[in-house]
Amino acid sequence: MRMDAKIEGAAAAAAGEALSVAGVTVRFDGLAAISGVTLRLAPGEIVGLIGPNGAGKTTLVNVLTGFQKPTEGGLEIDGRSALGWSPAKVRRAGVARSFQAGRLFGKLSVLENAQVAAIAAGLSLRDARARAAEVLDRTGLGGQLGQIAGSLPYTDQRRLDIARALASRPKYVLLDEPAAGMSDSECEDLMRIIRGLPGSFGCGVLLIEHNMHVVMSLSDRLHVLDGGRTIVTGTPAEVQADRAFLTAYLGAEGVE
Amino acid sequence: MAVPANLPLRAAGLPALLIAGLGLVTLPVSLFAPPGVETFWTEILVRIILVTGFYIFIGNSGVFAFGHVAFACVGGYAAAWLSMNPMFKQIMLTGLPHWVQTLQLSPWAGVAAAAVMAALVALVVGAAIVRLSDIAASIATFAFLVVVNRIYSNWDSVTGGVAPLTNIPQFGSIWPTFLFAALALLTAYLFQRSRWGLMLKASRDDDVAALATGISVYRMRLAAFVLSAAVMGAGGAVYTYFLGILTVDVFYMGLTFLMLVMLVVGGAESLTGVVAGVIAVSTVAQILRLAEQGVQIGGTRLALPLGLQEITLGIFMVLVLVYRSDGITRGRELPLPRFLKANADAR
Ligand SMILES: Nc1ncnc2c1ncn2[C@@H]1O[C@H](COP(=O)(O)OP(=O)(O)O)[C@@H](O)[C@H]1O
Ligand SMILES: [Mg+2]
Repeated sequence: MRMDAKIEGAAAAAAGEALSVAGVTVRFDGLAAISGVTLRLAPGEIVGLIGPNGAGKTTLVNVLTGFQKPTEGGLEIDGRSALGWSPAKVRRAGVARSFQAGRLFGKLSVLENAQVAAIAAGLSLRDARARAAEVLDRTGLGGQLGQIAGSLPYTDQRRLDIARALASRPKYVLLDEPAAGMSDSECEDLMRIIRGLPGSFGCGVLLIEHNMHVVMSLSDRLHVLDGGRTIVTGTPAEVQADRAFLTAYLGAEGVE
Repeated sequence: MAVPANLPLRAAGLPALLIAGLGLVTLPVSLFAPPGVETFWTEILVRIILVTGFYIFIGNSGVFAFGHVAFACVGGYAAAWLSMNPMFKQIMLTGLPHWVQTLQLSPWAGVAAAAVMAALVALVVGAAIVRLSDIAASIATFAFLVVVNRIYSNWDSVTGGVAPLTNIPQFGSIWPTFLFAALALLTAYLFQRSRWGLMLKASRDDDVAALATGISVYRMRLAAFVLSAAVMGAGGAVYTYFLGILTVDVFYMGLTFLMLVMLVVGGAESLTGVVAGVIAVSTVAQILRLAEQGVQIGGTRLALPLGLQEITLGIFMVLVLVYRSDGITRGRELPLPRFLKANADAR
């Protein structure tokens, strides 16, 4: 089952399916938040997106999900240009995201939060309920289905945000600092879940995460941003050996 | 599993319970109560229809639309146009098309037609209004109420202007009004439990996340706007058939204020709150009205000054907002008795 989904994902990737931006620039009042960024995410792979605060990571996620129209550059979903699409349309094309700042449906139950995402993807109430229960089970929230989302502990809220993103069976999931504010053990728990996503859901994952150790061990490829520009891309090993990466990004922190 | 009160699972028996409760009061009222009490209770049932209309949009979308009484006005006049004695229509409403002038529909058909007409108006107006941000939408619906009132007050040949329209048939019993109140509650309930209702409630809690979840917030809001207008239109018609007489200013600021107080006092996010708010506020208002009329003691008449009713209701609303911002029901639905709950959970 796990392998099947992974193989499916690989097959989709081979068929040229991907979420991608090419030469994307976003300017706010003349100031570039990101400049000339090119990135590609295929189903079945985990790509780590790293960079210091203000590097433009969230802005890039906003472009990839239709929330931010790029000043220049293109956005494609499985070979089709998605420039100018509404966030809802991008989501229906298979791109889901989580938010850096929670953003749950606070007065709905845990189950309804995930259920409504499946409904928006076109499922009936009943099917959406089953799908939601299944996804919540896999993200470790199966015991809290009836709880009101706004009353969940912080770490559970982050997990619910991810479960909600997964409930529509997306091809691509973009997770914006899902482990922010978590303790080391909570973070490891979450990363175990994320590591399993390509296998169990067949989706590609773009992971924004500050913990170097975690992101290096999880990602198939890394994309490093600094000041809105791509400074290096490649496998974790390649990136760790890169001079620009070491000086620009880890210079201050040192390699762990 | 511990399930919180407003999970839809558990609320499956909710409309049945609310309707049964209302029915239990309506029955003795219809059999034994003096006319004054019957009028009081009928008015409560009418208000339940109207506040439910408000609730369907406000409660599920979180957008405070102040202008919905305009749809009750549209519905009230539709009822009058369709059911008034044709002789009077030919004298008073000379601008009506001939086929409408000669028509005299039963109140039942009139209510249905009023709902449809209000829904059509809402489709046109709502298409523009629900695009606006929350505050702008609130103001726009309010402006719409003023526009409708001005048109209906001044289009003499079609509405009779500010003069009251009379010779409108009445139901002649409390039961049709009860039935429409039950229907309104059921409609609201089915909507809030539907796929669309759930998507709309999600957008109420966070519209950005709703978009990211693939929900077309615009479409959900428009659907709720049209449905709530239909219920308001039906409510306006029922009100008109209850009074047997129609004046344009019945459907204006005073009623709007009263409905909003009821919604806020009851708790704008639960159907139980609608019923609780209408009953609580109607009772307080009735007591105040009696106090304004005063009591005769010996040779002197003791009465509260006029206008105190609105002032007190305003203070009542503010107090509820301060101490229980989600209303006397705290936004929750009625807890169901155990036998109903078991059924609900099994669904
Ligand atoms: N809506 C906006 N308006 C103006 N500036 C913005 C906006 N969003 C982001 N920025 C700016 O763009 C830069 C990148 O921000 P962001 O993408 O949030 O970085 P990161 O997620 O990597 O921390 C920052 O300098 C930020 O101040
Ligand atoms: Mg960020």
